[in-house]
Amino acid sequence: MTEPKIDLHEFLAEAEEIIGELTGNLLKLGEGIDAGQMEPDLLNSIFRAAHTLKGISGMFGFTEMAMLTHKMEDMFDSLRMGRLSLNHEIMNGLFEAIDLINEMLVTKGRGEEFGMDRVESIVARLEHPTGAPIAVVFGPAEDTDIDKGILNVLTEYEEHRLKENIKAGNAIFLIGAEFTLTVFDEGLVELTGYLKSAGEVIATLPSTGKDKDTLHFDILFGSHKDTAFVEDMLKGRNLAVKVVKEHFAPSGAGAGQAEVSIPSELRLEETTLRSVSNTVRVDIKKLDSIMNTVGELSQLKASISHIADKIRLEMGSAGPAIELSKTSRALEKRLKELQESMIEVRMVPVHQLFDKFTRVIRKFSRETGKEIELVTSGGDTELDKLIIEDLADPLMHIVRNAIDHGIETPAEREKRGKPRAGTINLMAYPKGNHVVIEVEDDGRGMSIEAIRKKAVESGLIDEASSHTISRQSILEFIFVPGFSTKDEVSEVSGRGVGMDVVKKNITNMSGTVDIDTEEGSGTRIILTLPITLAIIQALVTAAGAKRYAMPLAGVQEILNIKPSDIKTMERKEVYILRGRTIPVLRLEQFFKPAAASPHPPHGGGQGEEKAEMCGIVAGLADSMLCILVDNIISQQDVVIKSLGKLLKVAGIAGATDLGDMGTVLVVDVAGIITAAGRGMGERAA
Amino acid sequence: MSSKILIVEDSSTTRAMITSAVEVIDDMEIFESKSGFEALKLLPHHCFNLIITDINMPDINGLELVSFVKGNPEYKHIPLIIITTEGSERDKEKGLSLGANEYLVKPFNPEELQKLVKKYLKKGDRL
Repeated sequence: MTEPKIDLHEFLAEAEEIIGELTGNLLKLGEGIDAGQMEPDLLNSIFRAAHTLKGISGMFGFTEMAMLTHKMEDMFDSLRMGRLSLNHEIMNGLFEAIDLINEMLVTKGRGEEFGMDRVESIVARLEHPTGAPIAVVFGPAEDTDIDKGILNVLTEYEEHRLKENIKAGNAIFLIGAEFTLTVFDEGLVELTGYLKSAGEVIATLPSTGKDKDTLHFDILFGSHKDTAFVEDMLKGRNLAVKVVKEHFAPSGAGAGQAEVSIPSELRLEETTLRSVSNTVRVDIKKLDSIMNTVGELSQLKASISHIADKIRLEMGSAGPAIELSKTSRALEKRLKELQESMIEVRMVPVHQLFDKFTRVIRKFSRETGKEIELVTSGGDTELDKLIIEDLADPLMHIVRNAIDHGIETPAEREKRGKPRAGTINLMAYPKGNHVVIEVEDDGRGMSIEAIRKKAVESGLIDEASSHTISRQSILEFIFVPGFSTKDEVSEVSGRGVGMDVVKKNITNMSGTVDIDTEEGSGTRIILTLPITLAIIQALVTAAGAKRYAMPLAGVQEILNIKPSDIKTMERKEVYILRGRTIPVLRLEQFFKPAAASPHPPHGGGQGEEKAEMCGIVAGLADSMLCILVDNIISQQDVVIKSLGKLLKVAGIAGATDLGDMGTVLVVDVAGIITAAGRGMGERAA
Repeated sequence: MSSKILIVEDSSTTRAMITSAVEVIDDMEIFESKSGFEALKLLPHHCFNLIITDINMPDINGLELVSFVKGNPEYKHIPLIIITTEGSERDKEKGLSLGANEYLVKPFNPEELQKLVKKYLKKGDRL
């Protein structure tokens, strides 16, 4: 056998370099153990390091080191292939093995031999890891549109990563990119780096380019983001993006991200190490939590105003008292600005949603055999990210309806003298404090007569009255739950399947749905949505005959209160909570003191019919208040809508639509505390 | 005429070993690349007579390189030897099915490699 003619130093230098990198990566990997996270790329490069070490020590005939690194390689292979889960004990074993390799290298460097006995004990430990073996499902990467030719090129590991991505429900893409020969590596590094921000690059497959001096790459990419998101992020990059497997997570799972802005025009040629945009992606939950903090700050501000008022009462309008009031008002103004900019940050352009339809329409068009042209306008109109998310399903439903039941087949259209391809117009435009989204088709429209007949048959209206009501009122029947079913009305009316659900979804966002139709020439669905959505968690309470929503942010605790628990001190009702006296406010009477009969001082009498009431303890420190309501109906997210500048009622923050429960007023807890505090102060004075 | 040979291997030691094994053969011009990317850049500039590639590499792996070479009418005639390690049977088989001409298992015997290289270059020992 010809002895290799290379220097031992070559080996030592490379081995040392690999060990250094391996140690660093292993430490990084260790950080993720407790969180149960193993970065596949990191694990794979660790595997490759062990693999190379094994290879070179074997080539040099360093048996002990080859044996040890072989065991390490096996272990990393099991880890990266998901056959073994990492724990601290395995990690300790690996670090010991690395220490031993370091010692070996030193010994080799001195030209000495290393004993085998210590190697064997560590090898034994690596051979019987304590980590729980994981069952691995073998089988082809089934159920994808991935070309066999591509699957054949994947290494066992890449195939495993593909399966893992599929198992996790991730969308799988095949992204085709063309680069010139001279800069393809820079271009690819930039592109894969960008892709990694949204998922995993499973494999990069080179093939011959269109031109002599270009190379083509197919990048197999798995992402937890939905397909539209990925398509959107790759827009303008001149890539061929093919979805080979759709995301299968339940709808709405991708709704967690608010994109502040997406750089849409990134040229591949401009490869630079600088980050490609100065925007950040933020989880919308984080924005919500900032929003909550702002809400809490408002509460604190209310306390400060309360203190300011108290000081003024006790010390008169002395300098500091006035200053405190002024400062508190300035604080209020700034808080409002903060709240407004928070809302602004949540705004995203509607085209993010519209763009998804371009792809969907192509698919629907294929499925139904109808020719459809999608025209969108007003994509720059902005809406709250959450509205965009919640709008996706209803809008999809409307578009689907338009294609299924509105647009005719090409043959039918020709017969009617219409162009073969039907047109669907998606429009967005601002209108005052609202954004209007219109879906218009030039299909067969709805038959008012058919809807009227169906309404009479369903007993929604009697025959006689049905002839007197307006056309618009007849169209409204479309929104009655169960009114329009696929096999009945839709066939004649052209549209309307599940419109009750659409209406419910839109109403939940404080939006409205209108229909306009012309039999034979098309239908237009008009959605009107609020621009801003300040979503808060609220308690829906009943007080007297009315219901009120109370923002949860101001609530400290909820108590069950018997009428006898309420005491009277200095002609005011109070509740003693853990030795602390808290003023009591009956919500029902706060809002209609004139109409309500004067309340008996002890809360007996009237209270008899309600054996127990709910006390909502709200406010902070000095300004705590126990708000009495009859009961609490639910806790839910509500959207506050302003009642407008003209309708300023103390203690009311706005109104909210609760769907089934109708519209209720939203209580401004801070306002009530301030008002109640003043009232009490006056009475005390 | 000298024979051009391309060695694709990320480990410098292994690369040096392959080189040292093949440079003893008569009239060889050896090109080394430490990644698949480098190989892709070298390919259009030389008429290689043989490619020797590792499988496990960063950026693009050896199988992808095999598929690229054997899928390109300009290069598919170039004989290709893959160097694998024991245990990666499936990757080795995939390599062969993609058109690799031979495989060698690490740690390989330099003489074995020389024999393969000579077979594909139809060369004799250096005189």
